[in-house]
Amino acid sequence: MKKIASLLIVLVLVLAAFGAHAEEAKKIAVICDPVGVNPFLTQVVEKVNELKETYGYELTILECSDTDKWQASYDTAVAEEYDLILGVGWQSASYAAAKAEECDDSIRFAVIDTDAGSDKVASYSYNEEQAAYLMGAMAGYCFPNETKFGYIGCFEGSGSFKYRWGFMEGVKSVVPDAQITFNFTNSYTDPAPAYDFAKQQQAKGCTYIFGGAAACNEGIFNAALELAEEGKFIYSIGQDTDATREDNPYILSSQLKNTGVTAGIIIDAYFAGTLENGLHVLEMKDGAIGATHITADGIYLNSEVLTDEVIAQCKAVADAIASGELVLEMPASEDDYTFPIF
Amino acid sequence: MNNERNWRRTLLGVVDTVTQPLIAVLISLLLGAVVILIIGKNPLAAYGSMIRGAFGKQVYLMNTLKRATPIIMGGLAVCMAWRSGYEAMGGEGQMILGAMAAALVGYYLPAPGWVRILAALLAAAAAGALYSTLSGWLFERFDVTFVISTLMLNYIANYFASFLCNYPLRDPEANVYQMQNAQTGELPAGATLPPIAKGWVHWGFVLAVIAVIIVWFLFKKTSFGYKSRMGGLNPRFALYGGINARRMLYLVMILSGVMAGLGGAFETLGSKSRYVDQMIFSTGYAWTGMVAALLANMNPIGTLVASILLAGLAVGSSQLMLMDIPLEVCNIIEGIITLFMSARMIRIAAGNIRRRKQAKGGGEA
Repeated sequence: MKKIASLLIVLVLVLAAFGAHAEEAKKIAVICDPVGVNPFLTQVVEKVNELKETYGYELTILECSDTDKWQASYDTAVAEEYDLILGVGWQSASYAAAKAEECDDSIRFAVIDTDAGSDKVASYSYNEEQAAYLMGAMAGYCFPNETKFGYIGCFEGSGSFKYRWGFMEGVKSVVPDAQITFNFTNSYTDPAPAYDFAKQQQAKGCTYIFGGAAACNEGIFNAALELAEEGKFIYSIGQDTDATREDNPYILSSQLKNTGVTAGIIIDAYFAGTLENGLHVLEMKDGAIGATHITADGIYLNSEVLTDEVIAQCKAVADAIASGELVLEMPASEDDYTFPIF
Repeated sequence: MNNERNWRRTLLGVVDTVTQPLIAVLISLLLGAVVILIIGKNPLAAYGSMIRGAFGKQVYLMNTLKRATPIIMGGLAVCMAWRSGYEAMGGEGQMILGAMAAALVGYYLPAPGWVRILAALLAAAAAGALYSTLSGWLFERFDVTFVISTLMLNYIANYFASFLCNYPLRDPEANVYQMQNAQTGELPAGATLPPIAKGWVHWGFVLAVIAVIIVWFLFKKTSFGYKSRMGGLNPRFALYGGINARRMLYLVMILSGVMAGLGGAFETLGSKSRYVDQMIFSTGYAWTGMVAALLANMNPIGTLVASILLAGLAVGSSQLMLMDIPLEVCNIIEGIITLFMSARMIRIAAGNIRRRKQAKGGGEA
């Protein structure tokens, strides 16, 4: 009898353990644009896959190939009862806010790189203008005798104003009479227009081109290699992750935005029970944004252009921003700022 | 005896109409299955999941119907023009302008919500009609082929709308942390097309179904169908028969533009509550509508069914991703269907051009 009772107790404990384990297996959905080779998104995907080992959650990546798929993906994630729904990118803001209103607290919503404007969503955004300013200062220190600077971005929405303003002010802090020319690829992933724009901007007299076009930046980098063969040199930077590499010395640095680190912060907080709703703004002092060779190491350093002296000057700027000694006061609206366009 | 012959002829016609789309769908599903097998998944489970993702729950079905709404309207625009012999491909541009016009009127018109909705629908219909008429005028006045003019006008419309939502009409309430791309301001709650009931698709879908019935009626129960077809295929013969081909051309283009423009308005007023840059261009509603119309052999009711199926295909792809199947696989299936249908499209277009040339030559001789 005792043996049977013991066996039953063991059986109950084993079943309870399995039951508890099943209960603990949370489901996380990441909703984003098609990932491809876009470093803004690959960082997140790598991080959430990495943390799967730690927390043992089920993971689904819902890639949205067009603007209509965002709502469908949010509906799917809620209908399939995911525990944490993590939206990456500005498109997620309105859908996360709307769905969070419909759901009870058993489903948590978080968004990266946008503000859902809801007290039921944890929103993580950045002060990218700080890193953009640093890149502008770097451009100025590298090419103090140049006055014409290029900028190639993805879209000309209000979302890119932080980058454009930060870069412009950074350049002007070193080269006060600097002028700028803008082009936009209207894509996060198509390098072809960026390639053409880079060649056009070089023809207009730019030696430094701010690469703010996500995966499209590859077009700028390829143009730089081709132009170098003709004896025409342009230099650029990568975006979001370190893009420096030995086979392309014209990529001087990268404006870093650690979306992967942010995803990690969110998931850690979720499992620790400390994920707070509302807007969280990450800055240079948090290590969430920065620049290759200045605030973080890089794969390859073109020391002929990015000299020790330039790096020291840039580090001083980065320190001033991080410490709060240099406060960047961005205009509330683009309408309140005039770019010196040429 | 005659009745029996007519009945057999009708039956054979229906079989002929249905066979090619069915074969196309079957072949594309088989090819899709090969792709799914290559990535190590079970095709039956994948297709089952896809069907469930498109129609299996109320929320999924409503998403499918919501996505189908602009596709139906795009398809009707194609039915209008192509049945009349005009190979216009300008649905996308007209839809973009319709969507933008609705966003503009819905946001800025100082009036009660329902007045804004009505005005936005009218503005969208007018925008689509005017833009469509432009390609009709280019055809009539300068003999610019519809294919070329409408394709180019699509790009112009998209960039024009991009300009508007990037500059003068950019959302004035966006804050810097939202990191928004270009979009217009959000319509007030009362100025959007509400859902039919809680958790249901918006009223735009009902209006699209009504439009299907109207187009079907026009083609089947009025002389418009015959007149427009004659006007498009053989203007001289039409004139001989007392039909004003020029008038029919503009009438067809206006009606086609109205359909596309309203499709854009339904998307703005019922789905997005604003104009978001690329929202028509990136989704390819108008092109999917064209595929739906071709699948249905330009039959409005068939276009409705085909639009819902194609929308389901797109919506179901989200469910495929739950099985770790890349969304590209669904895109491959859609692409294959388009490919199979395009053979038919080219044949229809070539036939129309040939008939028109023959008619011109005959008249001159």
